[in-house]
Amino acid sequence: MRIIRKTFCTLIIMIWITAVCEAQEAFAKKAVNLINILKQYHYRELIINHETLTDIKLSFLHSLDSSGLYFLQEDIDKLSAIDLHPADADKGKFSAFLNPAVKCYTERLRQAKAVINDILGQPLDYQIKEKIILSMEGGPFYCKDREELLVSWQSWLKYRILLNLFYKHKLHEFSMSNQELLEREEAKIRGIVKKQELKRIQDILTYSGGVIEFARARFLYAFVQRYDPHSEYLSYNERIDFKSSLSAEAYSFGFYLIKNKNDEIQIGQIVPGGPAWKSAKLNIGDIVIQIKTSEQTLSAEELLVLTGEQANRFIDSVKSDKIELTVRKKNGLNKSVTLIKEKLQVEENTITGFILNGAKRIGYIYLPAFYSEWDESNGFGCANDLAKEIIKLKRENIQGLILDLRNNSGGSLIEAQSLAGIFIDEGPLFIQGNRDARPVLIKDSNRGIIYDGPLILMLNEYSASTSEFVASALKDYNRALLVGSTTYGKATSQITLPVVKDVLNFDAKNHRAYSSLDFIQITTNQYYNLSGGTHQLRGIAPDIPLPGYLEDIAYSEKNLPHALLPDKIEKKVTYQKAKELPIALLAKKSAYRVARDKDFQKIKDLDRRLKKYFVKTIELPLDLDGFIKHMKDKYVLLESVDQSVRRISTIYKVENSQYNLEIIQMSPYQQEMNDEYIKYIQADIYIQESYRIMGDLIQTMK
Amino acid sequence: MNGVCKRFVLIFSGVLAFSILIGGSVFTEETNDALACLDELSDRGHAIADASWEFVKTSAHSKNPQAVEKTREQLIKTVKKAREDAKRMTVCTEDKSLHKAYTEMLNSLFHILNQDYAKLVDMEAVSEESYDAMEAYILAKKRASEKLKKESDLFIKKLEEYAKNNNINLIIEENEITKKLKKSSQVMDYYYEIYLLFFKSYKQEAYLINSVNKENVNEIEQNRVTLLKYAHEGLNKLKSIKPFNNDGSLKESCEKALLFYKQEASEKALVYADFYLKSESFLKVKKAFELKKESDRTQADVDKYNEKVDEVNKAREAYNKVNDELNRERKKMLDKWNKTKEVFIDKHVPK
Repeated sequence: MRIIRKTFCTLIIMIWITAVCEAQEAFAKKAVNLINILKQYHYRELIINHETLTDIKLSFLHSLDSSGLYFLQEDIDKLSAIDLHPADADKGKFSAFLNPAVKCYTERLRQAKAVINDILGQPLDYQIKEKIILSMEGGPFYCKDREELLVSWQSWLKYRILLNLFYKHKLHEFSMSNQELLEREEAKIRGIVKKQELKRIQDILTYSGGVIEFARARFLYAFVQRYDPHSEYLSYNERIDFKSSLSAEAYSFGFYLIKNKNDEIQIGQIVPGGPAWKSAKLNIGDIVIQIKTSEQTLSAEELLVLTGEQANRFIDSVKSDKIELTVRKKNGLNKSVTLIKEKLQVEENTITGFILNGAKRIGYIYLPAFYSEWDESNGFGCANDLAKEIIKLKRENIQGLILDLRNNSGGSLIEAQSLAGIFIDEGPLFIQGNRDARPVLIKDSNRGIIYDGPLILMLNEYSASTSEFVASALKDYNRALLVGSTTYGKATSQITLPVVKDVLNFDAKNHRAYSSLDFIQITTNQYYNLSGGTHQLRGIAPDIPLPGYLEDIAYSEKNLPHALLPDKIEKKVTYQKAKELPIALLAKKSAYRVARDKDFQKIKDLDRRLKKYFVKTIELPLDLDGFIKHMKDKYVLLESVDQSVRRISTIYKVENSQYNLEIIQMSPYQQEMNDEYIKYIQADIYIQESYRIMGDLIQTMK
Repeated sequence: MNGVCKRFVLIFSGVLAFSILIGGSVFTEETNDALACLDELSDRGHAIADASWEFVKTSAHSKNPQAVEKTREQLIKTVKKAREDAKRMTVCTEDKSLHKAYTEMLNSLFHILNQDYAKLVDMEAVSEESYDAMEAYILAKKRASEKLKKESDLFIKKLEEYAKNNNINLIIEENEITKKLKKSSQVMDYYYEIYLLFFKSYKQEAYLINSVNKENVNEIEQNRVTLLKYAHEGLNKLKSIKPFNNDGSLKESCEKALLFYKQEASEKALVYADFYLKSESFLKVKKAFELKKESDRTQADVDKYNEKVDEVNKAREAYNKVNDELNRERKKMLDKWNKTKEVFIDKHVPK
C-alpha cells in the first residue's frame, strides 16, 4: 500500500515537472522567434546588451506594478540585479529572472489582497489633511518597507473612493453637500472599489496558464516596447479580433471597446458609417466613463471591473435601441452622446459633407478616422467615399473646401496615398525610409485630381499618423493651408506579423494553430517629406496656428519612451509644386481676428489656469472637502473651455448637400443625428475661424 | 588631298530609329595597322547594317511574326558576335579611346536589342519618375536610346580623329542599305512621335475602364480628368506635326482617336460617377424607407422612394447606353488606327 502511494506521487510530480518544462521551452521558442523578428524587421537596429536588458527588466517590473502598490523597493533592487546575459536572451532564456520575479510578485499580490480587505473593511477617515502624489514620470515610487506600503495603500484606496464620489457628485450636479453625499454613498463606493482592486489582483492570479504566463506576456511586451512605443506584442489572450466580433448582419451601436493599460475601458474601434461614427463625437481612444441604458447605468468605476470582452458583451446585451455613452476625450473633457442601434451593413458612403453657406459657399467634411482595413468587401476605404462626397459638394458649387482631420489618429498608409491623391495630380507624396534598403518614393496612386480648389486642413495635436502623412504631402505641394495646432508626431508605419519561426514563408490559411498564435505589431519604416525632413517626434506645425489648450502637455510622440528620433534623409525628388500660398498674409489676418475674439482669448487664459492640473507629477489633497474642491475647480475650468469653443455662428449657415438631404428627410433618426451634427459644426469656433481664413484665401486668389 | 582616302558608310539603324553604326568600304590597296583597324570596323558595321535591314524590312512588310522574330534574333546574334570579337581584337588596340567608344556603343546596342535597359540606365530613377510600368518602359527606352546616340556620336568623332592621326582622309557616305535604313528611320521616327500621342490616351483610357470595372468613383473621376488632359495635349501637339511626304493619314487617324477620347472624357464618361452616386443615394433612401414601419410611411416617403427608383433606373440605362456606344465606337476607331498604321509603314518603309 505504501509503495503504491509513493509511486503515484512521483508520477504526479514528474508529470507536473514535465509540463512546466514544456511551457518554459515553448516560451523560450516564442521569445527567440519574437527577438529574431525584431532583429530582422524592426526599423531600429537595437543591440541587446546588459544595458538594454536592464531597461527591459525594469519596465517589465513597472508594468506589473505601475502604481508601486505591490512590490517593495528591495524587491525591485533584488530582481533587477538578477543578471540576464545577452547570449541567453538570444536563446529566449529568461527564466533565471522571470521565475523569481513571478514568485515574488505572486506573494506580493496575495499580501495586497489581505491589505485591501483589511483597509476597506471599515469606513476611512476623510477629514485628515493628507495628500497623495500621483506621478507619470520616471516609473512608480516603491515603498521601502511594509509599513510605508500600508500607508500608500490607504492613500490610494481613499483617492479611488473620493474620485468615485466626485463622479457621483457630478452626476447629481453637486446638489448636496460633500458630507451628505459621503454619508449616503461611502459604503457602496467602498464596496465597489474593494471589488475592483481585488478583482484586478484575482484576474492575474487566475490568469490562464498561471501568473507565469501573465508575466511572460508582459515581459515580451516590455521587450518589444524597448524598440519603440508603437511596436507591440499581442499575446493570444490579449489579441483583439475586432472584425469577427461584429457581425455585418447584427444590430449594433457600431463601436468596440477594449481595456487599456490603465484598466480603463476605451473605444478600440469605430465601425465606419455605424451609429458611433455618424455621431461625429466619438474617436478611438476615448475613455468610456458611463454607459446609460433604459435598464441600467454603468459608472466609470463599474466599468473598471469589466474586461474589454465583458464590456462589449454588456453593450451587445442591451435590449433597448438607445444608449447614452459618456466619454472622456483625450483633452480631458467629457462628452455625452446618444446612439441608436442600427443594422451594420456595408454602407455605400460613410462620410458626410456639408456646405457652410455665408458670404462664400465652403464645403466642410469631417473625417474622424481612416478606414481601409475595416471593410474588405467594399475594398476602397475612405478615400473613395471622400472623393464621392467632394464630387457632390462640387455640384453644389463650393468655392473652397475645409477637410477636418482633428482628433483623427490615423489608419493605413495606402489610405494616406489615395486621399492625398484626391488633391494632387500626380507625383511623389513622401519618402519611405527602410533600415537596410535605399529610401523609396511613395507616389500618388492615381493620376488626376478630384478637387483643385482652395483647401484647408484642420489639424490638432491628436491628428496622427495617416492624417500627418496627408498634411505633409499637401504642404509639400503648397496644395493646402494647415490650420490648428502642431500634430502628434508619428511618422512611422507598422505591420502585424505572427510570432513564428519562418515569418516569410508563413501561410495563414494552412497553419494548423493560426487562431492560437501570438502576434507582433512591428515598426518597419519611417517616413520623410519630399525635402528629406520628417515630422517624427516633432509633428507638423500649422501654417496658421489657432489657440488650443493643454497642447504642451498633451499626449504626443515626444512624451513616449523610446520613440524613434527624427533624422534627415538624402534623396533627390522631382515634383511640380503649386504656387506658394500667401501664408504670412493669411496668418496675420487670422492672428488679428483671434486677438480680438473673446472666446479664443478666454481659451488662452483657461489654458494657463488649467496647466497646474495637468502636470506630470501632481499632489492632491485627500481630505473630503479639499479633494472635491480640487476636482470641481478643474472640471469647472474644463467645462469653461468646452463652452468657450462653442458659439453659434452667424457668419454661415450649415446646410446639407442635395444628395444627403433626400436621405435625411426619409429617416427621423438620420434627421435627429443630422440636426445634432449641424449644430455642432455651426457652433465650433475653430471651424468658424477656418471659414474666415478660407474667405481670405479665396480673396487673395482673385 | 594627301594620304590615303577612305570611304566610310554611315549606317542608320532604322528599326531603332536612333542608333547609328559605322560600317564601311575600303577603297585602297594600302595596308597598315590603321587601315586594318578601319577594315575590321567597316566589316562589322556592314554585317550589323545588313542584319538590321533584314529586320526592319521584315518588321515593316511581313505579317508573319515568326519571320520577324527570326530576323531580330539574327540581328542580336550579329551584334553579340561583334561585341565578343571586339574584346579579342588585335587591331585598333593602339588607340584605347577608339576601342572603348566602339565597345561601349556595341554594348548599348546589344542591351537595347535585348530590351535590357537596366544595364544602361538607372532604373530606380526611371521608375520613380514614371507613373506606371509602361511609362517606365518608354522612359527607359528613351534614355537608353539617348545613351546610344551619344556613344555613336563619340565613336564617329574618335574614328575621325583616329583617321586624321593616321593620315587617312576619311569620307563617310551612305550606301544603298544605309539609305534604306535612314529612310526607314525617318518613317519610324514620325510614326513613333504620333504613336506616343495616341498611346498616352489609349493607356489612360485602359485605366479609366479598369476603375469603372472596380466601381471606384475616386479612380474613375481621376482617370477621366487625366484622359481629358491627355487628349487635349495630344490634339494640341498634333497641330504642329505635318503630314509625312504629303501623307496625312496617320495624323488624321490619331486625331480621330484623340477626339474619341476627348468626347469620352468630357461627356460620355460622366455617366459612370453619376450612376454610382445615384445608386448610393438610392440605396440609402431605400434603407431608410425600409426601416420605417409601413404605418409610419407618408405619401411623400413613397413618392420619394419611387422617384429614386426611377432616377437610378434612368442612370443605369444611361450607363449601359454609353457603355455600348463607347465599345462600338472604340472598336471602330482602333481598327481604323491599326489599319492606317500598317498601311503607313508598309507604304513608306522601303522594300
